[in-house]
Order: sequence, then C-alpha cells, then structure tokens
Amino acid sequence: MAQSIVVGLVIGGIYSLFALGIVLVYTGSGVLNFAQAEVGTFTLYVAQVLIVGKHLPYAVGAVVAILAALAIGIGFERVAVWPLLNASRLTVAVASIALLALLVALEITVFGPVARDLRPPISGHSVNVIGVLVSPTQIFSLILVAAVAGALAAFFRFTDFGLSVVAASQDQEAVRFLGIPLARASMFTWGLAAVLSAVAALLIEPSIGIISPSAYGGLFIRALSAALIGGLTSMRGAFVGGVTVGVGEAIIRHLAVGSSLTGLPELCIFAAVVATLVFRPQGLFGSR
Amino acid sequence: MTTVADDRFRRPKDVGLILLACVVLPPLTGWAMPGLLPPATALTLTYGVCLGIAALSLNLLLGYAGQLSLGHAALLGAGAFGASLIVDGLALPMFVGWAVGALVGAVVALAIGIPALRLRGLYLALVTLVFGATMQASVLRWRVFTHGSAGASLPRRLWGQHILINEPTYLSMVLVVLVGVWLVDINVLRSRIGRAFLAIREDETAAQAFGIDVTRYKLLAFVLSGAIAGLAGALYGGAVGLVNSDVFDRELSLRIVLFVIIGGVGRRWGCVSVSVLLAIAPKLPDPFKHYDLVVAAAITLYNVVKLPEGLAGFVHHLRHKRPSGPPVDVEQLRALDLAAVARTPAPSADPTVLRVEALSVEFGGLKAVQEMSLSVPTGSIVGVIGPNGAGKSTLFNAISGFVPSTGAVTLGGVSLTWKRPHQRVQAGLGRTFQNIGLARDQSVRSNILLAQHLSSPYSDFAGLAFTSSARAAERALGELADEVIAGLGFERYADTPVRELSGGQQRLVELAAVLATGPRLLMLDEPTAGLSPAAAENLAERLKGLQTDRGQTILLIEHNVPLVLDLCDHIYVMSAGELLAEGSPDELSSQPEILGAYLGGEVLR
Repeated sequence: MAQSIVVGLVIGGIYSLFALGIVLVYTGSGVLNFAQAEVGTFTLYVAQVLIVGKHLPYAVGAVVAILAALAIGIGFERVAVWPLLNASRLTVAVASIALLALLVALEITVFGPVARDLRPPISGHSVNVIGVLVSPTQIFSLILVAAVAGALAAFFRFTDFGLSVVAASQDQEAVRFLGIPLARASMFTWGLAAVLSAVAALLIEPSIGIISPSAYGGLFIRALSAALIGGLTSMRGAFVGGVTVGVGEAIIRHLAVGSSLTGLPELCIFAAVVATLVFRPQGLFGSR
Repeated sequence: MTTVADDRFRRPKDVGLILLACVVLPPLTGWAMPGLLPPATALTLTYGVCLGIAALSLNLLLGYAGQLSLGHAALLGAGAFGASLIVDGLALPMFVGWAVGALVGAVVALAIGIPALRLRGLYLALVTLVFGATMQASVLRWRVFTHGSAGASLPRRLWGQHILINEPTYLSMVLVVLVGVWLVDINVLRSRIGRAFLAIREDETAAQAFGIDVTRYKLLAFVLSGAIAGLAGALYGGAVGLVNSDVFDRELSLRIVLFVIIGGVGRRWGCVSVSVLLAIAPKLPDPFKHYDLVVAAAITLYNVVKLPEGLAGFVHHLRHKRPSGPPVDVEQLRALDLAAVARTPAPSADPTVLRVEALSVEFGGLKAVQEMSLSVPTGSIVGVIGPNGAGKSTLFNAISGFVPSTGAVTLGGVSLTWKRPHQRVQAGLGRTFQNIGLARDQSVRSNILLAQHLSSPYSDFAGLAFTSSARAAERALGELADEVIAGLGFERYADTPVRELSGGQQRLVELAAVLATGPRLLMLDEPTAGLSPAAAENLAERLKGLQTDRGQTILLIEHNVPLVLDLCDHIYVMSAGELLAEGSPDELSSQPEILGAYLGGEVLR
C-alpha cells in the first residue's frame, strides 16, 4: 500500500504538470486545449529517435524535445488561436482537436505503430526508504515537479510579465487599455503549456515503459480529470487534482488486483469527474 | 442552413426510387460484375456508410444543437455490444440487434447527458471524452461482453442459426438504414424540434424567450444522436463481425468529429460523402494509404480557421450573395399592419395582468433593483423610464426569469416566482430584448415559426416521424408565418437571414414574432431604439392601436420621454434601482423637476 501511495504521488505530480498546462491555456485564452497531452507524447518520439536511434546524450534529446514542443505550442497559437481571437471558444477548441488528430496521425504514419522504448533520465538502483522502493528517476521527478510549482507560483506573483498574464486572463478588454501586450501573453501561455507537456511526458515515460500512440491516450483524460476536479481556473487546483487522481488511481489499482472488472481505476475517475460537475461545477479551487 | 430548413414541405422526392436502388444495386453488381464489387470492396463501402451514419448522428448534435461529443465511439461501442448480446447471445435476427443498439445508445446518452447538459459551454465535450476513454478501458473489456476471447461476435444473421447475409447484400441493407436516418434528420429540421435545436445553438437566452426548454432539447439532441450512434455501432459491428474495445477507440471518435467538420457542420451530404471517401482512402495504393488521417486533420485545421462552415458551407456562400437591409423609415412602417400580425390572447377575468411585489436583484453585493413593486392593469400600456443604469432592463430580466431575484411576480393570477424563463413564456409573458433576441443566422420566416414553438400542437415524437398531424400543424404554422410576414410588409425578406437586416428591421421582426404568439403581457425593451423620430412616432401610434383595437396589455422601457408621456396610461420612474415616482402622464408632467432632474436633457428631445 505504501508503495502504491508513493507511485501515485510521483505519477500524480506528473499529471498535475499536464493539468497545469490545461489550466494555463484555459485561463489565458478561455480555450480547452484537447491536444495538451499529445504535444508531449509527440515530442517523446523526437527524444526517442535522438537518444536511442542516434545515440545522443539523454539531455540533448530532452532539450530538443522541449524545444520542439515549444515550437508546436507557439506555432499553433499563431496559426489558430490568435487569428480566432474573436471567434467562439468552441471553434478554437475544435481547432485543438484537429491538432490532436494531426499529432496522432503523424505518430502513426511517421514513427509507425510499433512500440518503442527509452531509458530513464537517471539510471541507478532504487533506494529503500522505510520499506518503500524509490527509483532515482522518481525522486528526480518529485523534486522537478515541486520546483516547477514553486517557480511558476513565484513567476505569476512577483514578476511584471507574470502579473500581466494573470491580468489578461481575468479581463482581456481592460488589459488592452493598460497597454499589456495581449499577443505576447497568449503566445507565452501556449508555449509554456507545451513545454510543461513535453517535460511531463519525459518524466512519465519510465513509469509507462514503452512509447506507442495508444499507450499515452489515457494521459490527457487523467490530466483533464485532474483539472476538472481541481477547478479549470486554478493552478493550485491543478496540483491538488493531479495528486488526487494519481494517488487515488494507484490505491484503487492496488486494491483491485485480481478483480475481473477491468478498468476499475478509470471508472472511479469518471465517477469522480461526474460527481464534481454535479455537486461543485467550478471544481475544488476554481472560481465560477 | 436556411435552404435546408425552408424546403420543409417538399415531400422528400424519389425516396422510393432511392430505396429501390439501394436494395437492388449492390447485390446486382456483385452478381453481374463480381470484379467491380467483390466482398472486400463491399465491406469497405459498408464501413464508410456506417461511419456516415455516425457522422450524421454527431452532425445532429453539433451542427443543429451546437453541442460537441468527443466520445462518440463509446456510444457506437455500446450499441455494438448491445447488438452482440442479442444477436450472438440469443440467436435473434440482426434487425433486432439494430433496434437494441439504438436503444442502448439512447439510454447511455441519457445517463451521461443529464449531469453534463445542466451546465453551459463545453462540458458535454469534456464528459463524453472522459466517458469514451473510460468505456474503452473498462466496461467494453468486461467478460460479460467479450466472453474472455478477443471480442464479442456479431454475425450478420438474417434468421435462425445459419441464414447469414453476404457482404454486398449487407451493404444494401446499411444503405437503406442510411436513407431512413436521413429522413429522420429531415423531419427533425422541418419540425419544431429542429427549430428549437438551431435556436439553442445560436442563442440560449433567445431560445428561452421563445418558450423553449433549453435543457430538455439539448438532452433530446444528445439522446437522438446517441440512438443513431448506437445504431451505427450495431451496423459497423456487423460489418467487422467481431466487436472489441479497440474498434471503438479514441481515434474513431476523432475521425467522426473530423468527418463532420470537413464535410461541413450542419450539412448532411458533406458529412456522409467525406465519411465514405475517407473509409476508402486506407485501401488506396501505398503512398496514399497511411496519410488519410494526416490529410484529414490538416484539412480540418485549415477549415476551422479559414472556412468555419466547412466545404459545403463554402460552396453555399459562393452560390448565394448576400444583400443587406436598409434602415427602417416611415415609408417602410407604412406597410406595417400590427393588427394583422397580433394574435389576441384568451380574455382574462383578472383586472391586473402583472403584479410585481418587492422585487430585488443583487449582483455580488451590488443592489441592481431594490424592492420594486408595480402592477399592470389588463388592457393598459405601462411605461418604465429612468436614466441609464437605473435597473430597468434588470427589472425586465427578473420578471422574465433570466436573473435570480427575491420578491413575488404574478401573471394573470399565476405565481411566476419559482418558474424558469420558458415556463413564464408559457404562462403568457412575451418580451423583446434591447439587443434583439432572435436567432440571427435563421431567416425571418424561421424566426416567426420559432416563436410559435409553444403553439405547435404536436409532440416531439410526432415531429420525428412527421406524422400527418404534424404535417398539418406545420402547414397551418406556415400560413400563419406568411400572414405575419405580410403584416410586416417583409415579403421580400422572408427567406433572408435576420443578420442581414438593419437594426430597425430586426427590431420589427422580433416585435412581430412575439406579438404573433398572443402574449397576455407584451414586454418591450426600448422598441423605438434605432428608429428615426418620425418612425418612432409612427410605431408608437401602432402600439396604441393594438391597445385600443385588441386590448393588448403592454409594459415597456423607453428613453424617449415625450413618446412615453404620450403613449402610456401609467408610468414608473426608476433611479439607481429604486422607484423614484409613479403616476399618470399628467401627474408626472406636473412635476417637471422629477423628469428634468433624473432624465436631464432627454426630456427635451
């Protein structure tokens, strides 16, 4: 059980990075980005090709993958989000569904349906911490998630640009008159969300073990559930939601071992999402 | 959209011929020219047609009602597994399986729709997305359905154990189902159901003001869509033969969304032809075969950004150039015959139509309306005046149920306090909006018909089947709409989308649409805004005529003080959310300090 909780914490932390991307884009441009997790999955292939295929160091592959994600995020923002500034938000959401489909299709066609694998960023033996086995990658992942959370909190609270992004999310009209560059704020949130997605995908790969188009399909569902439970407008909610989903899933999986009901964790997440929408539509920390 | 909605009475021509062709052609070609339609080709085409039906089901939801489902594959899957339980488990004919598939799809949609559709916005898309993934990972893998093997079997069983159907014949049957679904789709659009869907897609507030129960119709759209999707799943499962959760995965849900967007949201031909074309694509020779989804996704992205109405919409725009309506002048108003437009409500014994007692509205600590009380005697014209921000429109919104309020509202002796907006319309309240509550992409005629939603005397089921009673009712409504349009003097704009009319023209259409429902109380929010002084004068005379000739009761908000003093029997003056003064025009005229102090220069206008 303790082992499950630790695994859940690590995975949940990573879910919250994806969820954070969803929240950032949602507060920044009012759009649900359905491609949020797929950007990371796609760039994971880029990293795999460089690290395993071309024998480059892990760090090089990871940096290139993150840069590729940044390019996709900003590119999409320029091509589809900014020109649709005054369009219905449903239209932009549908554009992100098209991006999702495009990325899935490219994964299948360019990289093929065969599963690939990638070694973890940090090798070495697992350490025994009071009866729980923890791998170096898991420790690294926990530290990194905490660091990202701290850095973003500081950025949005203490820097002028961070504050202006928050302001832009609250009232776009007012911000136009204050002379805050709305275009830069929009590009920034989409770019940052894409980078978070790439980092999260690299961190979660050792837990999933393989890279294939279908293996990561459930990630966005987890992230979206986390964001909905925590509240689509709250960064704190994204972290609480992510950890809740991660730990809850791990515990239920642990309890359901041997059960004939496949997919019990998924069912429970779905039930939690529906319950949230019925009883507290704005999520745990969100505002209406 | 309007072209589809407007040939409502054209009997779908040649349906018999099309059906015959669907039944006869595929088996005949298979027999006469085996090279042209070998079983494999027939099967590929069948996949395409099944996905076409699935695309039609999403089109009904997204294209008409404006709600998005991202888990449609799970609805198809539910239908396919339901069919398999019946056809494989109980050895019943596949037709029973189709019916069960549709039923399962509808029930599942109902169960998801109830929690998801209470909320506005994209929540249905979110919940269906999570639902689709959950079904694929869990229920669709359970032993009950799969019997522990690679999947549940779904034979194409015609009868008994051994009478199965070959591929070309199955194709012909699926084509027949497509025609059936197509006809239901036509019925949806030409009945009050489709009008309600389209109104919800455009403007939920306007839809409610026309008496439409928005939640109910969104749910109906999703349940109908679920039934068609379940049917499509049962058909698709029969084509594959083996039903497992991998057939109904995320990629299939995405494909269905892409088909609808590429084909053109709201356009049947586009959706079906794109589905069939893209089903054939994987069978193409090598360089093309893997890239169908890449191309489809790229086209979709381009479509969304550049051609929001899809290819079919683009073609439609090329064919129809758009005129623009002139502003309303006295000349045009001369053609206006409100008495021909208005329907008289049942006479009420109650001497007071509307009674509002101590009504207050609060917006997060700000008191927008405070303890307002007013009453509107039967057959009178009552005005509400006051400076901008006095809370006049908020008062109207509270009376019609669009903003929550405290206090009591009674209409014709019936308490409205706990009623939702569409129920208040049902009780006899008709209103116009300051920013015009019409479905703007719809034609003038469609809007007049939309307003008749509550007086369409047939059930939604009768509408789906377009029974003879529904047909007769629609024909009567069509005649009524013609009269109203003639009364407006708008014959040449009958089929023009409201968006293309001038502001003043739109206001007249809205007024006519509401009047034609025969409201016991007509509430007008700035009826003369956007009209020239002479035209405003003219309109006021006609409103006065409605009162004297037909006994119409009117409550109106107006900025034009001389006009209000001239028109109304009783006037309430509001300021900062409170009642400042009330009285007959004569009483208020004798207190120029009230009018002058709070309305500034406007009194002189």
